[in-house]
Amino acid sequence: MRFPFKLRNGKGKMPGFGLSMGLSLSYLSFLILIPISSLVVYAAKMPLKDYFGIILDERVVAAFKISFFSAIAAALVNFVFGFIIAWVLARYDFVGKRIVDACVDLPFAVPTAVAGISLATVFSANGLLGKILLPFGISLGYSTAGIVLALIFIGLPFVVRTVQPIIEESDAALEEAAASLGANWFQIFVKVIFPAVLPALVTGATMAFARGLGEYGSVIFISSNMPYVSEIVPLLIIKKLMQFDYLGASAIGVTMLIIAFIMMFVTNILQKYMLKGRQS
Amino acid sequence: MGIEIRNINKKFGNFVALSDISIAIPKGEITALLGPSGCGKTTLLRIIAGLETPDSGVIKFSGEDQTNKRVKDRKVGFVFQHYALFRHMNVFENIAFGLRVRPRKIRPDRKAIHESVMRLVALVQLEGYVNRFPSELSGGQRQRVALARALAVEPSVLLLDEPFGALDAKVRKELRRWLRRLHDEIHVTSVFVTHDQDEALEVSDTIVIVNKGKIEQAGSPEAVCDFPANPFVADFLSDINRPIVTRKKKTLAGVINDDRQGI
Repeated sequence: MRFPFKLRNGKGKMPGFGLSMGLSLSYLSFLILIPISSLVVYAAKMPLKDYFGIILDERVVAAFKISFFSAIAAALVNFVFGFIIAWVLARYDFVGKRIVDACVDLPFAVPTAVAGISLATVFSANGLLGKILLPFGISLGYSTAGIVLALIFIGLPFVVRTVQPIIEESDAALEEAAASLGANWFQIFVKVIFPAVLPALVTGATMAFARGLGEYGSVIFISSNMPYVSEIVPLLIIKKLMQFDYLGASAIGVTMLIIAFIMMFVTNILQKYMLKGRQS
Repeated sequence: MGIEIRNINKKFGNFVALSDISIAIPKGEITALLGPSGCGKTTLLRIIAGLETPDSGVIKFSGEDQTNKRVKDRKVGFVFQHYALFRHMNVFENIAFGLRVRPRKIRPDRKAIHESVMRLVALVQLEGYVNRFPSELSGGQRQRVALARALAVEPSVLLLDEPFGALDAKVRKELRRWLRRLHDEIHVTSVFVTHDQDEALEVSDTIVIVNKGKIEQAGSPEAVCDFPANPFVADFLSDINRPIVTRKKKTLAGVINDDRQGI
């Protein structure tokens, strides 16, 4: 029997396809597919009417809005600043560069609760930075804006680490070619460098968004966690679980899963479109 | 006079890349910078383009000092060894780039840009390929796109860095004959870098042989082959296929007469 998968042209001539594909599939099944489908199966026990009753509940809808909008906002902020940081790290040499470079990874390593508590402390009304921002009417601790702040923190390394290698590897001859054709630095950046980096930037921002959507630990410490105002979906799920409302929790979980999957899928398609004709 | 290069020096750290280079490159001709790898020929080409700054010395185009001008203001067409095509743009956009980035006052309108690009596309024989992306082209086609892109800005000087280096032997031969014919049509002062003696002899009007940052000899292909100035030149040219070159002057039609004779 032939394996029902197509090999990519010119690639995949290495032996061991069956073995590596088998391993990948079982690994993904054990880690992702089986646990997640069991969630879906569990939620499927309830009638559709009950399901919609749960997820269309006002408080749940509000939580969804808060979760999505803050994750999107944080991803957009990281899109901009993550790019700038990646640019600085890839393009310039300066004293302490290695330290800055290492700092970028800290959000990966720090326990999210620690991150949340630190952010909340520093940005609270009497906190080190909160004190400075307060006169401007900006209050980030224990507020909805605090959620975005926590998600920015969590998502930053995703953008920087995806974009940085692309900037580092970009061919200097491209910029020289553009300059020899009369482009000024701004045109070179806008027309040559940025389009080359954009696909990676979108990937990084998407990962940051996905991570932000599911983030729990840091957010609950900096947010005021008020229903309708600053209550995120993961928190709502935990609350349902604590009330032994397993079906309710699974309904919300499945909904989040579906929406996240659709968004990831769309970005992947977008990515493919952006990369059209660019391989080589 | 085309390009005047006077007393150019360039060091990279302690490495002397070019030492006191002076040469005049004739207008409207093709000149080859020929030499072994690491001899400084590419550095010289990049200095002419303004991509590299000399430590001292002067570069003039048609008597006009270019030494302190940046590459973007020099009006040079530069063809890179690996073409450096913009991968996110199709052939049309690649060629149009130099026109689109012009300051608004001197930027041609849509129609004019379209016309010049299509003229260049015809010149490099890529009709029907304008919507392709660089990754969808063969090496020879990419090379021609790079050339058309460089010509789009109507450069006063065309500079080519190992223009045939990345191509396979057959395509290389075809393309260099084609380039020779093309040049006979457009007559832009051209300089190309190569380490391939055959290529230099076949394509150029003048050959400048460079070694260790110095010019060993400059002259017509016949002159350098028949009367090598020193043992290095004699040795460097000795391993070409047919050492004696007798090439007719170009005809009006610009056909290159492939009548080199072996010994």
